[in-house]
Amino acid sequence: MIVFEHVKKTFKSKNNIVSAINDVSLTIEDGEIFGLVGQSGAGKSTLLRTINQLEKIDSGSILVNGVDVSTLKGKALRDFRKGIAMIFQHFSIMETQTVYQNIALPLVCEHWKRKDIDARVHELAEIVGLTEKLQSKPRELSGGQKQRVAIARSLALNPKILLCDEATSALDPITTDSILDLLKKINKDLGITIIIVTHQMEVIKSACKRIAILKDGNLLEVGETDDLFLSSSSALKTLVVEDEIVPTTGKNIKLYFPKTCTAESIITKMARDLNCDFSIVWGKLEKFQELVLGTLIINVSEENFDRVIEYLGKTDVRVEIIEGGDR
Amino acid sequence: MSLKTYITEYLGKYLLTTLEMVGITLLIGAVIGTILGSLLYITRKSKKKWVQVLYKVLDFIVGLIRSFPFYILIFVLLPFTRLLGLRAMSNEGFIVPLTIAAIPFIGKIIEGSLIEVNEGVVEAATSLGLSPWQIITRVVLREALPSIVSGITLSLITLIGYSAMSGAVGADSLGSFAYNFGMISYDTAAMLYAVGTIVILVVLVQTIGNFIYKLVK
Repeated sequence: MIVFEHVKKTFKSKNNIVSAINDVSLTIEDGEIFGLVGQSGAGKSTLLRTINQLEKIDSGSILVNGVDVSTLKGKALRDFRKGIAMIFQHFSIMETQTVYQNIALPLVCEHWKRKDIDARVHELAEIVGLTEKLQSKPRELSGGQKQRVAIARSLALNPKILLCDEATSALDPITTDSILDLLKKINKDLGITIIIVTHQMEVIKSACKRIAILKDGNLLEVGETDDLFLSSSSALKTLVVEDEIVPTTGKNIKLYFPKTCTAESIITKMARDLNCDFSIVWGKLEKFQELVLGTLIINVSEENFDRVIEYLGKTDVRVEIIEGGDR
Repeated sequence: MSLKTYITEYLGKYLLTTLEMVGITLLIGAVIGTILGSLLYITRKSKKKWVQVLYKVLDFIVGLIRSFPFYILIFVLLPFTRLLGLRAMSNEGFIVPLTIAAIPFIGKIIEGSLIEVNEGVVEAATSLGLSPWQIITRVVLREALPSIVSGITLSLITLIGYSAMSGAVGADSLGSFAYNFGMISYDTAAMLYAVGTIVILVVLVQTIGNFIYKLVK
């Protein structure tokens, strides 16, 4: 379990002091995939890096499995870091070394026997799917493969926690998906707690069970990912740039369909019951891990608006009125 | 001087002394230069005030020695060479100023190579719980190796150039041969032979350097 309590951190430059993390308190449970999300400059990377003390904090405390990390120094800090893996946006693997040598690095530094290193490296290569590439140099690999090397290396010493600092931001969507699948597999099979820093909506939806939304160093909201999306959380809105093109006449209503009901039956039933017409502007389905959620925007005339709202109020559907079609 | 006389009577001796003084210098220079370069790299990156002062001091000394014209450095170091118990006016004596010039030169080259190493890799190594010593020896130096090989090749060629001034203290090298036998005795042929030998030597060094570079990259 990772517990942040009133964590504060400022960066001092010559002319001004920037508050990178402003009084953040947060608990991350064992075994979950947790997302730290926000726009660039929100402090999410900094917050992640305080966990393994790549960044020191100014005040507050961070307890990782009961250990106050800011008190660790020297060898104790290095031993602590061995239990916390980390991967990065630009992979940060050694260009001059082969895949094998890269994965073996932490083991060699721990003075493992050659035979044990060999066995462990092959085992890790198996997990990340790089068995064929062990003798390749990184420049022969694709971005996704490089990240797999980094993941294998980070897992070498059986860490309990894996920190992902924008780990998929430099990858294309398909590769991103495959890396996320690997992370989910690692989370499930090895029981490793994974904390993901990202600004990619797809990553949040696909992998994160819970997320914390940060803005300008402040913690705006923490919660289950699907709940936050469904409640059309205003904090989440700051993240999504949605170009919603909607009609300028009449009233536009956005409907969120929760897990328990499906879209079409409600819409068609409403049309029958109210005996009124409305147009469907657009709708989409979104996948949250295993769950599918839908949103739909409908356009109704001014005179029917109150009836529709009243009708929808009696259902499970969450309703949001979109102001002004010409925004 | 005929080419035959040059090859049979002079080439072997002067080539050997050149290779010997440059080789020994490179060996000592590379070892101490690597340590110096690493020290510059570490102290340069440190956030501690007193370490930053240490870097400034080190960097100043390195700059001081590097800005000495080599010809003057040779004479300035004569007493120091004698202090080491070496005959100052000899082949072995010339190795002293050559090495003193090589150390800061190589040190600065190594520092430059280390700084070029991707900071992200260093950070990843830190996150893996490696000690500062392991980070330098197992990550940074290895990652910088291709760049260091290029730098050492450059240093070696510079040293071959410097060795020409060995004549100043009566030491023998291909360069001093070209000067003494060629320039001073107006024997253009002798000068061309020696210069030609140096050109071949330099090309050879560069080729081997490039080959090793490809090997470690």
